[in-house]
Amino acid sequence: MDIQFKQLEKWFGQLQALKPLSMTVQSGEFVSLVGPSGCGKTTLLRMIAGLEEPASGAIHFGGTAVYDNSRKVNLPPQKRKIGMVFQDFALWPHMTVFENVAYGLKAAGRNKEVQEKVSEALDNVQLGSFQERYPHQLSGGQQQRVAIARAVATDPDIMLLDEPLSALDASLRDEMRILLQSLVKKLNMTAVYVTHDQSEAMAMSDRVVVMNDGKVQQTGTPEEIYQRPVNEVVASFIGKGALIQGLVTEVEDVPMLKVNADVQIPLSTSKTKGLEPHDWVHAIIRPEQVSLDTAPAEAGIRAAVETVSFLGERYEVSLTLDGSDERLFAYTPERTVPGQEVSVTVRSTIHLIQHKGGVSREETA
Amino acid sequence: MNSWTERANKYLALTVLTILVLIPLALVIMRAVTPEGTFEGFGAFSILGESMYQEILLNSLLLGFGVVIVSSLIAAPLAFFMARTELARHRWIDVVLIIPFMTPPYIGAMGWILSMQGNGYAEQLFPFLAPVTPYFFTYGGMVLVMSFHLFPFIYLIMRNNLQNIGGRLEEAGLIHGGSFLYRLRRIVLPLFVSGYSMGALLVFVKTIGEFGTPVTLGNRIGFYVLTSEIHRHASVWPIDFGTAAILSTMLLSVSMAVWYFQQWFAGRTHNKVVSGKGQTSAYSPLGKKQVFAWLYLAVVLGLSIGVPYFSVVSTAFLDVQGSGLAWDNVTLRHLQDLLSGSGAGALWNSIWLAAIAATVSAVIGLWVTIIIMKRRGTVEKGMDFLSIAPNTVPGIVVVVGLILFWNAYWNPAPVYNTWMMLVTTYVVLYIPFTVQNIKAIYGQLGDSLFQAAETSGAGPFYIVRTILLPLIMPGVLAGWIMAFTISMRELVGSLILRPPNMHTSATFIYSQFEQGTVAQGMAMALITVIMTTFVLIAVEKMKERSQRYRT
Repeated sequence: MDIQFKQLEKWFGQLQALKPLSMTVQSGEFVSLVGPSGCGKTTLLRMIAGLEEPASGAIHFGGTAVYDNSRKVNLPPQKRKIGMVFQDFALWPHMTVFENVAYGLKAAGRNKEVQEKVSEALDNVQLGSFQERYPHQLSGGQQQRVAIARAVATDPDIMLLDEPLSALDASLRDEMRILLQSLVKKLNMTAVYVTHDQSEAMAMSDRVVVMNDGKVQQTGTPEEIYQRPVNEVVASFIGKGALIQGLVTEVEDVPMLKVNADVQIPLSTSKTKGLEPHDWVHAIIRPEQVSLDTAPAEAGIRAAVETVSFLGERYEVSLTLDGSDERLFAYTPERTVPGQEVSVTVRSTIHLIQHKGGVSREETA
Repeated sequence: MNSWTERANKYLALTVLTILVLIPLALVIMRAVTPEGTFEGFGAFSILGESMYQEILLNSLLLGFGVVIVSSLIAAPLAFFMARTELARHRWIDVVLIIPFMTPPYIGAMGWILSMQGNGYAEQLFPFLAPVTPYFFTYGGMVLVMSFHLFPFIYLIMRNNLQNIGGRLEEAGLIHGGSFLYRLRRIVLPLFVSGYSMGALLVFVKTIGEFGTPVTLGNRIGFYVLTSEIHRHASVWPIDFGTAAILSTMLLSVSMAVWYFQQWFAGRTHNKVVSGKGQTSAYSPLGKKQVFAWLYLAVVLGLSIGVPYFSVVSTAFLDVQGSGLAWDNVTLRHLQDLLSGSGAGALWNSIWLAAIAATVSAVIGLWVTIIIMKRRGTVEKGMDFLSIAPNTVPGIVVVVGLILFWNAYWNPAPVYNTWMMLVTTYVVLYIPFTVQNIKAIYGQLGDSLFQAAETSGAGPFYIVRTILLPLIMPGVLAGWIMAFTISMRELVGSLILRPPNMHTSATFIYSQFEQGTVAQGMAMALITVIMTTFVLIAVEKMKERSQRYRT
């Protein structure tokens, strides 16, 4: 079942929590809403659930309006047939695991299915043998799995997830992420997932919606968002890397990014399409696009190692460019020491964002 | 539930609170400015120019200040011991220290009188005290009795305060090089003062609104205060509700003025302790010197619990008062007489009246709480205020208001002078307890518990039945039991508003004491205290159990 927003808006007093938004989440799609706190992502999720009333616009589930300002339609949450997982689990402390999961079925009067559906849901989260426990007798990870079972027990077509992993320990998070991802796909649900953790969003989603200040900044697949961010906000929020300002120039027909008098980076022509020489741009330089040579070479940019972090499979170093305040990040298999002089080469395929009015295809998607 | 019924429900609850709380209190103030039915502005207050009333006001204030000072002095060392030394490990001390506060003040005062009077238990046990005991029947004695009743209150506030300040904040001061005195002056005292001011205020307001001690000990020694004078004007011929209303308004104004002053004072300081996780408490071990701490505790407990209870128990079991303390003078006769005579009726009256009152206030409390916790509009805030008001206003002021309202010639309800009046009084006085108990539990429930139910497809009534009620039931029960217990021994309202020929256990004790037949009175006191103690222990146990399924 798809979810459609039409000119959806929300105000909190004078503050516009969500600027007019039109978008469709396809049936069976896993979409993440990501952004810093206060960006409007949770507000949007709660409006889909019916826990928050929009100011205007419309929300359709599979073509049927659950909210439509112009036609005065506003279904309460209990009539929207959704499943929802909360950040704080929200398990009812006075009910057993079984009763928690059975709640939605009983509320809907589906008493005959209770036994079967609850067992199925609990098996799906590997908690089949915990039916008679109370929530306080379970660990945090188990509690969240009960909450997930509760959300899927009624067979909703739409699953809403409000930062479900943020209350869990880092070690549990990966396990739970895989469980959620596979369960949602297995049950063929349309999922909307809210998180402030961009790596979580990219890891799980078919599509990522980056929000800031109540406005959708960019919508796209994780790869698109990572490789071709449309503006500085998206570029700095998503993925690791350095955002460097520079001027597009041309030296002997080769397009270059001029950071300052000393530092110039050659660019691929595919990346400078639509840009004129002397346009100011932001370049987003990911660590994997920077290669590092400990033997000083004529061709490279001269830089000094600032910090070194061991990541297990490689080292991440931060570098300061000679004659500039800019800082780059790079990966290297060798150990270097702070202060060491190195030479740096940046790939020509780095992504450029034009200053002001830089419209890219992704924004209208 | 559509919005129309929701609104109707809300305004119905508001109306009930208005009738029960707002109108009676408003009538007190109205009556004070229109004693003869015509508005005289503040002219009526001219009686305050009479030296007799000035003295009464002054007495009340003196009593308030005296009790704040003495109870602080009693409580401060205890708070230090329990917050900062090894004694803190003995949690039972906290429970024991609450007993004086839970003892009805009139029973405590009677116990003290029986001990200290001529040839009382003090002289019998320690003859050398004979020259000292007469000093008890003075202002100082009253302050002492009331301080030993109210100190647990200020103790709890001081101890919590010290615990909050303790640990890290002081350690930080230590590491940054503050000497002991410097830390005390710059860190502990400034943080301590505003919390303490709240405790001092509450004790002051409770003291000047207290009725039990002034009406027993105070009247005996001629130390008249506002509450005992209001009682005289409202119940002793010639009855003068006008003066009672004026004095009530005065009492109310003093309470409110002190309250306002404290708010202003606390508002000047910004000392909400910001903390990350895990405040640790810092102990300064006493080692061998612990003996002194234990000794101090023993003296305080001896005076606050030992003296009054020893008197109550002795009096209840001594056959002939004049024969004094001796084993061959012990009898169960008074208990038997009590349970076969008029005392049994009074006790039974108290039980069923309290049961009805507790049920009604639990129901109203539940109803009101659900409405005020749902949304925070102006109406809800007003209801919140009204539901707590009877607890902040001195009880006797509420009682005067209830008389003025239910006894008014224009009030058609046939309630006054019947048992229903007593139930109404208890309900009004103790709604705050049920509301607070339910609110405390309701407040711990996160919004997401209800939202999870909504998204699971449950309708509003289904949510109330399956989620809300089961979760707040412990609060409702605790509120019921609290209301039941304190209704059972309520004195001021029962004394003034009881219908003719109807006694409750409290009025029975009071009249027996006044008539000099103390043995039956104390036997009754013993029974009520034992009953209510058991009930209170049951509440504590229940609270523990309801904590069980919270993580």
